[in-house]
Amino acid sequence: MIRVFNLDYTYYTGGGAVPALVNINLTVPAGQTCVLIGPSGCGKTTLLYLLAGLLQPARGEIWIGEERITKPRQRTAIILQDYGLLPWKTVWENAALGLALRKFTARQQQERLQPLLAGLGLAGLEKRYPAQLSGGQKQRVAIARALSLEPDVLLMDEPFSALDALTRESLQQILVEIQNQRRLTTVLVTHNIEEAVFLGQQIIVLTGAPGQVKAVLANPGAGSGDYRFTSKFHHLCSRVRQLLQE
Amino acid sequence: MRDSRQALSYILSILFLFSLWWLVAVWINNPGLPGPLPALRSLVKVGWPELARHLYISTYRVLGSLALALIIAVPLGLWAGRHPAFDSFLAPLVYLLYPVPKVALLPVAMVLLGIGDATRMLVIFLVIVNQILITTRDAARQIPHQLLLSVASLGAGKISLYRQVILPACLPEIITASRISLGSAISVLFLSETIAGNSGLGYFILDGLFRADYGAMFAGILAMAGMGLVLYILLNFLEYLLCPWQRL
Repeated sequence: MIRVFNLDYTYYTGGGAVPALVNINLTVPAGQTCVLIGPSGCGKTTLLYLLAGLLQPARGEIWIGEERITKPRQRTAIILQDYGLLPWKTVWENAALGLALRKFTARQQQERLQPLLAGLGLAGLEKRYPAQLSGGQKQRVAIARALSLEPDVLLMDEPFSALDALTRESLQQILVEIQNQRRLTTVLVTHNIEEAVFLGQQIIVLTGAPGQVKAVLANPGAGSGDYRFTSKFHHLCSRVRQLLQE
Repeated sequence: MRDSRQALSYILSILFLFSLWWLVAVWINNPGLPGPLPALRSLVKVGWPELARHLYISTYRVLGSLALALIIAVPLGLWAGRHPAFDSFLAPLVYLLYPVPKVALLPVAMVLLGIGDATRMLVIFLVIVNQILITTRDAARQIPHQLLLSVASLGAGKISLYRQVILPACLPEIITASRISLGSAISVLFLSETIAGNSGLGYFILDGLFRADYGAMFAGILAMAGMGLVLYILLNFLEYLLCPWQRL
């Protein structure tokens, strides 16, 4: 479970202090997917970095389970916007990086990664470099790298924004399957309304800068196969759109 | 296919340069500038054990100073690129010293260090260290923050970040800077070897001039050009080995 209490975050630029997030409170129950949506510049990426322990809040607290977050946490995986793949490492080396940094032996890396890469349809691409992959393939390598560490929390920043519509939907499906198998507590940042409604069992709508929680919407139907074609889905989409436009 | 075409274009440019040389030699018609064929012939006839000794010494001096410059400039550059506070101390120093003609320090170095290898290598080092430092720092600065964050989030500490991200990200630029520095290094080498001392290709060339042995002089010049070319190719090969992702 992720809990955030009275969180503020302020950027310091040359011109002075710019509040980015004000008084954020949220709870993500264990195993659920929470989607953060809001206009650009509302601080949703900042909130994700705070949850990852990559930034420190000016005020307030973040708890994951019984642990207060002040630095990156072992079992939190984060996938950043540009996938964070190193151009000088092959698919295999990129996917194994987290394991290698944690001193797993080559054999242990092999045992964990091989089924993961195969499951994500990356078998046979191990020796390629990121520049030789499509956007969707890169994203799947990033997912493999994140899952290799067997996290219980998965944070994703606009994971599918650079992909075409069909690739995007197939990756959303992969994410739902991962979610069904592993029950990760997931926080996903997006600016895409349909993605938010399809994936988020909880949808948090943020206001423009500085970011504040505008609404928290429950969405129990999220992730089921034909949810996209139901009237509930479309109803919720227009509700989120309305909230964003207000 | 691509390789053979590339090889052909190299052969053609060598032929082009030699014909140009030949034309100028014929036009000037002076024993001080023999044509390419007599020059190559003198390269065959020259006392090779003697020339090889000078070639070895010169190569050693160039590579030694390049290695020294890399050992010092790369860590400083990487550090400065990632730590603005350190850079704000280093940058003014570099900018102030950059336009100072380091070659002019050659006499000073000779007084302080004598006329051995150390003096010549120090001056070559001073000439090229800035170039490598600045290029490395600028490359380190441009590493996307996201890349560092995402590797840090996998559990990488400071040292791992340098080893896994910062150094490899800058490696292509470091090699390019080495290639560019190589040209300056050889020029300064020549100059430093023509002043005092009795070793190195610079000495050999000048000695040929003073003895009016233009054959030996040109053999020395060709040896120096060959040294530069081989070192340049070696650096390219190093890039081929160390930066395979650059070839995609």
